[in-house]
Amino acid sequence: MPVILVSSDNQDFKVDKEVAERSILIKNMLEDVGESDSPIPLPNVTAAVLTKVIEYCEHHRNDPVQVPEETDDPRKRSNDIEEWDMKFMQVDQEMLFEIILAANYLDIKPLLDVGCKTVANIIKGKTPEEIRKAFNIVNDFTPEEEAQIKKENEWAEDR
Amino acid sequence: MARAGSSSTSTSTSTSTNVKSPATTPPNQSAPVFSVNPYSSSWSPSTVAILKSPLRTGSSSKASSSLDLMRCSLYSPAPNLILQPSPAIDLAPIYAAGIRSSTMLRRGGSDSSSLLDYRTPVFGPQDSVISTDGASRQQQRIITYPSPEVRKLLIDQYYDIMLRGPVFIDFLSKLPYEIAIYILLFVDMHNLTKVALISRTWNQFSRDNEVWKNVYLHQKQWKVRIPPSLPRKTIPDSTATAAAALIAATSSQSHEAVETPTTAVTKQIITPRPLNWKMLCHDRSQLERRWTTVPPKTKLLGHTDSVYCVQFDHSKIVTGSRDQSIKFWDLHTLKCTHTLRGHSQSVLCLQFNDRIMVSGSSDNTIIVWDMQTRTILVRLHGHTAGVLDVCFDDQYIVSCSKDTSIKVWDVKTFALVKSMTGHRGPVNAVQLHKGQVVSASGDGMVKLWNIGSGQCLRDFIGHDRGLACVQFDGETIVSGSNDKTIKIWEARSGRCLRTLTGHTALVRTLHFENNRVVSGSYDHTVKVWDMTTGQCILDLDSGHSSWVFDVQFSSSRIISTSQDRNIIVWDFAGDLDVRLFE
Repeated sequence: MPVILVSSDNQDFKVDKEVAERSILIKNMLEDVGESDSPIPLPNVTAAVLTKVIEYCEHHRNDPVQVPEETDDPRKRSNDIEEWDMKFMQVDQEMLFEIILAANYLDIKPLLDVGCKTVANIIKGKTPEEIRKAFNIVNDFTPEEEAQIKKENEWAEDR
Repeated sequence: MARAGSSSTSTSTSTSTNVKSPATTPPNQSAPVFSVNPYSSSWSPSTVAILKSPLRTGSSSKASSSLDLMRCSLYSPAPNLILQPSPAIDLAPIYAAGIRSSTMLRRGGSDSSSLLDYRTPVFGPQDSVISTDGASRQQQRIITYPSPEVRKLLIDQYYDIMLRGPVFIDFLSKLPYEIAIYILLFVDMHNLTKVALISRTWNQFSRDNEVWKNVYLHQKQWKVRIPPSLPRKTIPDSTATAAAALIAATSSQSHEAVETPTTAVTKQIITPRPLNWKMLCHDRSQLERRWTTVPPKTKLLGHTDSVYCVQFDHSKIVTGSRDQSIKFWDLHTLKCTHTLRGHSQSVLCLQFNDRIMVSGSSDNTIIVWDMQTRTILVRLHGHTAGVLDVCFDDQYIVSCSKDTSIKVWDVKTFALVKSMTGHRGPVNAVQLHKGQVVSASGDGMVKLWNIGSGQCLRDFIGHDRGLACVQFDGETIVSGSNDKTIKIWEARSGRCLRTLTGHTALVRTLHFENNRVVSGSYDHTVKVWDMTTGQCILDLDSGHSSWVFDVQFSSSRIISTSQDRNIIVWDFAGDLDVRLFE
């Protein structure tokens, strides 16, 4: 049975239950309410973001539920974004930001992971200056402070 | 290219709202609690649907009506980014080979043509369709992970998209704190030093204790052991400062009690204050680097003849000697605490855990000792010559002898379970791993045995002379020989992966763990090897004045014993407080 989701700007989205339940928040809601066709309001998510989120859930509708392994290393997993997800995440900064917030709010762990890994990948792949440029950050250290920080962290650098 | 051209306008209003109150609670609902703990159970539902049998997969394609396209054009990937039709490949051989492929099958697909608002994957008629309960059809989805090159390309491509704006967001500063930290959990130690340099705000994030805890716990093979006594005990003067620093509360917002990682040795610890994980990372890195220079050494005197065997844990050292005694030493004071007598000739080998110790002797017997009372529980007779090596697990005691046999005993009843013969010379060393035994003999053979069947499964052929020592961890076998070499074998295939050369006499003993081999030889030296490169990274030639009989190492020490009657403790720790590392 389809579920009706209502975005913050009052747009209705008709979605398969199985797709909607990629969101643990919605899944729990539906379990609490039982069989009901009343629309589910999502006051934190705009139609634009919800569209994108549902596209993700649609694509991943039948994925097995993630079970973190004991040896699960987040840093290793950041290299494990599937190609579709990487391409899916090629949106502007604002949308990426909103997707991360929505994934957190809707409790869609795999989507949250993909969003966070996307940001982490930029941090890992770029120089400090390039990172500042991407996030429009001003370097507020004095040269002395910068030297001090470098010295402090020397031990953690690659050998 | 997949950027939504006009999206910022349509979302700008709501964006600002969401930024300010990202976790606003909807009516009648509590907001999900975000957990920064990657192990948090809140993310791990108990059931998994895993497709057991891989199926042939047909091509799939996405189709959509023009209306759909219009609706979702704002945020849809550009056409060239749409999932490409998957080639039909048969994954069965990959699964059969047990290889973890980068391409995996998952259940996927759709049975609904009734979806209104989105592009719905539509699958061609040739697609394989599984009928489950008749109510729903399932479809395979092929997941592709990009190659490193494609990955880099996509990241660079995305970087360009970021630079185009129009809006720039300082993600770490603007996201809720927990999410910012969660992002940094995907960043390694080296890149964290970069994060520290970005700005003052980012620098704060780069110091977060949770982030460093994650670095530590996932650093390859770093372990942490938190003794129950440490936080409460009054610590002796010399180490007081270091220890205080170790457990100092940090300025981070992490207030959780210390958790033991999955690799931790002990679990009973609750301390009120968090460990300083960055400092632990620092000390552990320092310790790792010290393994390339000769460390200070301490000689333990007490045995009156050759010291044949040694084992140590985090509190004690136990040694066996030709003087027929077994001695216990305090690992920290290095004083002899107990001397055990039971064998009537040399003590050649021993192994202990918290409950029992098993020792073998040239008096042909094995003694099982109670570790608490240090008294004899039972004496095992059966071998007709000296017992050259012993080992045990929860099920079996395995012994090998100069009489060329390997004997398996029940660790609870002490009954003889099996006697395995096949070697044509004395069996010098034996190792036990989950019902499999690896033995090394003077006949030049390494053999892999199955205890259940009592059969020899495989011979490892390659050494030119007799073998003196062997270790086996279930996957890898490392053996030392009279041909002066050490060989690394793949147990599964019997393939020799690497030969380590450098010793100038028989390799009498070795211990390997985490890519590191430490060996002792009749050339009087102890050497440290990198298993990946095969290089000798450290040569300890200034310690023993005669044959080296046994070695064992931990993250901070090597302990070696010799015919020269000495036990040498090589200590890499120095001023570092390493009590948490072993």
